[in-house]
Amino acid sequence: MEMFKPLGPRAFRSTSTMMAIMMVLALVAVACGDSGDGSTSDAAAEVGSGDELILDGEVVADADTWEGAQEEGGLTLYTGWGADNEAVFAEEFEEDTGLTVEVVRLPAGRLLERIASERAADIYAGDVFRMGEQALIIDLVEEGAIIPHRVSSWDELADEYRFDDGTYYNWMQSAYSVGYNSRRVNAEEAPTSWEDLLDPKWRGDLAIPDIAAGGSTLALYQFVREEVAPDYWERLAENEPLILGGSGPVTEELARGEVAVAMVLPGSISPTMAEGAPIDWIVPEEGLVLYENFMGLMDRGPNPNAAKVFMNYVLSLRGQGMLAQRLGVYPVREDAPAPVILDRQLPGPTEATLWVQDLEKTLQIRDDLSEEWYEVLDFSP
Amino acid sequence: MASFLDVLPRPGADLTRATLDNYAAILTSTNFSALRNSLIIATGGTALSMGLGCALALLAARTDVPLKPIVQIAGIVPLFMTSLVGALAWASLASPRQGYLNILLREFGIPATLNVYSLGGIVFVLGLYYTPYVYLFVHSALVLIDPEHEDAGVVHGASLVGVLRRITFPLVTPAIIGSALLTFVLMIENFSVPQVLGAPARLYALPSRMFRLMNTSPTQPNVAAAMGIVLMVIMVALIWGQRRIITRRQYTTVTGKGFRPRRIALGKWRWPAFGLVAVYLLLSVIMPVFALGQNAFRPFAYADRLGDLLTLEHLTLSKVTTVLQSGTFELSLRNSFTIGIAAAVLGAVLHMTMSYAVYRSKIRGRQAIEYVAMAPLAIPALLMGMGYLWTWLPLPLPIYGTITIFVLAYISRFMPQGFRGASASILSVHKDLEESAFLSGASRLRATLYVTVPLIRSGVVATMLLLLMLSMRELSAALFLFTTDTRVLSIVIYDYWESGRFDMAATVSLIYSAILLVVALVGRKWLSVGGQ
Repeated sequence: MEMFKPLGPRAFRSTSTMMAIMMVLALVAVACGDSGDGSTSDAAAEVGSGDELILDGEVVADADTWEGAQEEGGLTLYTGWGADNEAVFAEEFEEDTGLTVEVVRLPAGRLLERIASERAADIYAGDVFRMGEQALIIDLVEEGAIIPHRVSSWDELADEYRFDDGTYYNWMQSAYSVGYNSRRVNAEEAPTSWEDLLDPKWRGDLAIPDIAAGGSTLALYQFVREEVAPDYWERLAENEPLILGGSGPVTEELARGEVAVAMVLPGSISPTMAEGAPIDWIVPEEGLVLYENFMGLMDRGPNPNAAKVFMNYVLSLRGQGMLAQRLGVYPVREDAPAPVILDRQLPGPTEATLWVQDLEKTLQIRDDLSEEWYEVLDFSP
Repeated sequence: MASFLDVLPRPGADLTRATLDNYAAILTSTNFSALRNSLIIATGGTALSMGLGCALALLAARTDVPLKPIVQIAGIVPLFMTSLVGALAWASLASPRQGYLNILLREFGIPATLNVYSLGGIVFVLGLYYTPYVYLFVHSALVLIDPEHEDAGVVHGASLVGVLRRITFPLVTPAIIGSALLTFVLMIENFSVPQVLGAPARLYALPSRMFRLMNTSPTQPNVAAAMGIVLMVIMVALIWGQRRIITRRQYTTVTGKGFRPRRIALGKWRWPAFGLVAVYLLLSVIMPVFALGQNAFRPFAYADRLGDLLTLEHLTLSKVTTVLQSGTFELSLRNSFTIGIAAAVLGAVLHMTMSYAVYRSKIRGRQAIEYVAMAPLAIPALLMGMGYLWTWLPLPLPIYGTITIFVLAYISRFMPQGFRGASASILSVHKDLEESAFLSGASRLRATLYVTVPLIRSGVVATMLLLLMLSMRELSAALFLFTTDTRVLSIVIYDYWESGRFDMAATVSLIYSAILLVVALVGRKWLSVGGQ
């Protein structure tokens, strides 16, 4: 049973080419003329002053939606993604569109609880929803809490990133990787593969996230077993890993040197790395495992137009490029640039294998998978 | 109610779908071990707190221990570090590999390892940070004992230990039992210590287990609620037991006669006794502050030699300035104070009114008010947070997602403490004073406002300060109530920890502890003025 497939050939462009293209597009947009009056001076972001919202030469909102959005002035985003990341995203979005984003960030379980409770009480406070676990977003779709919206870049998206005729989208992918404490382990001794984490020299000196931490960990643990070694879990258990509640505490213990190596999210450890913490990450020989984040339009949200502009923006070339370059996640648009974390470019599909999970199969087996993981790792859920 | 259903008591939910499955789920091995761990933690922690608290109280109240002001400070100063802050600090002091104390042990070639990620570690940290509660109770009881009782023992030839064992301790039994019960209840519902220290060792206590059930997918809120109810049953049983023990005997020791508390001469044990106090202060405050400082004032917390901890190189204020300038900190500070002050003012008014009704009025059913007031003592904070979420959402009042819901939750959560404080001051003013005004022709309201209220002013202020402090410290009840805009300081610390920014959590913790200390100091000054 093939659970994982390498990411197809996506034409990532290098940053410099990308910038050149954006400049050209911007010039074209200016040359086209109809937005010459009072538009922003940002060369890349060309906000059409009159009718539509145009960014990087792409129509992000049609005239009606854009006008409605401007009247609404902003939107409320319900999200399970990191608060730091969302703050950066909101800031960029606001700069590009003038619309404000009120971020309500909660861990997945509490966010769902909140939405269910609100709906039961006939409160509709959120406009856009995004989180990492597909099963949960499907529940919301079934309850009618998420409704369809075809984004402006619909035709640019591959089928695997858009679901049920636009009910929800996979709008980005983040990478899981292997990290190490560079004060405790020098670069030559550092692991170079997922397999290396099973080396007995890391016994008790290795931290991993709990499988229940979210959709990301489901992808991670399926991957190591399907693509690295069938008995990966058993051998991991022999290495007596420190199992922590999520990637946050894993980063913490790695940065303090409480463990020498760990399974980490390069995107999430970058703020700690930027402070000078002695941690680093590798591109494992077997490849990086990617996991998805999903987004949908919320039913009866108070700002439906601004919500649509937001979703269109997320999947626009402008939004996708920003996600890759400022937040270090893999964009889903083929024409967007490759991700960069702290000036280090993440590999594209030609430089390393990028594994993505088969979402349908994950949905079917997720409960059994978690149960078995707990059993093998001797961890009580 | 959610605990009996397989749906949540959201509006429109089918309440006929009753089930006991959620209780059966508690019997699964992990949930059951959480229950067992909780009992071990609370018992061990209470024993430690009792030992430390009674010793400190005895030293401060009844002996000639040197540097007594320091002893008195040692008894209460750990109150300003919440158990969350203490747990974070001890995680960096005694994590098994890179904990600072373990680095120290290695440096001196001592082949031992301290591991705070264990049941023992949780007991130790809880014990340290709940000692002040015991100290406060026992200290005030000891100060009030008439030394004649003890003198009688000495006259009849009892030794010092004999007097303490047969006379002093039995006399303060209500205070000891009361404080033991209080600390046990606080420890068994404590969320942050088992959460921070238990996770790496795969140890759960009931509150951290409940939290996990609510936070990992798929969520199991009904089972979580059932665990909360089990926790509540334990707490109710304990409180009932305490009442039975205390009401069985008469403990009137405070006679109102003037006396000077008798001092025990420690002789050659004076300095060793102070040494014990110093060790406590070192473990509960000095070392944790040092550890937090390492995280807050260095660019990163990695250390592998003692030298790394002591060098003055690389010290930086950048994290402190980042925190102080961040919108998050400003917002949460404002929220914490707004909620704290609102809960203090409204809470004090409510608790005073309730207390007045119970002790001064002849309203039918006034005894029931007292039971209502004390009931929240038995409700675990996490459960209360969940309950507030589910209860207030369906109501047409738009308070959900606002700080008002915190104020309401805190007022009911701290009702036992507020009511006790209010009652103490109302009982201290004799009824006759108000009655005489009433008889002289003043209306009941006027008599109350012009006679009773001014007399209990300092009591009211003290109650408000207590409520302010408790509100500003609270984490557990807030966990299910906050949204992005209504984060409070304790939530910000917890969030930083959960998202992997230990350094930021430590930085905010230091500032937070300093704020609590300042609030208490300012309050104390104000109090002594008001009391004159």
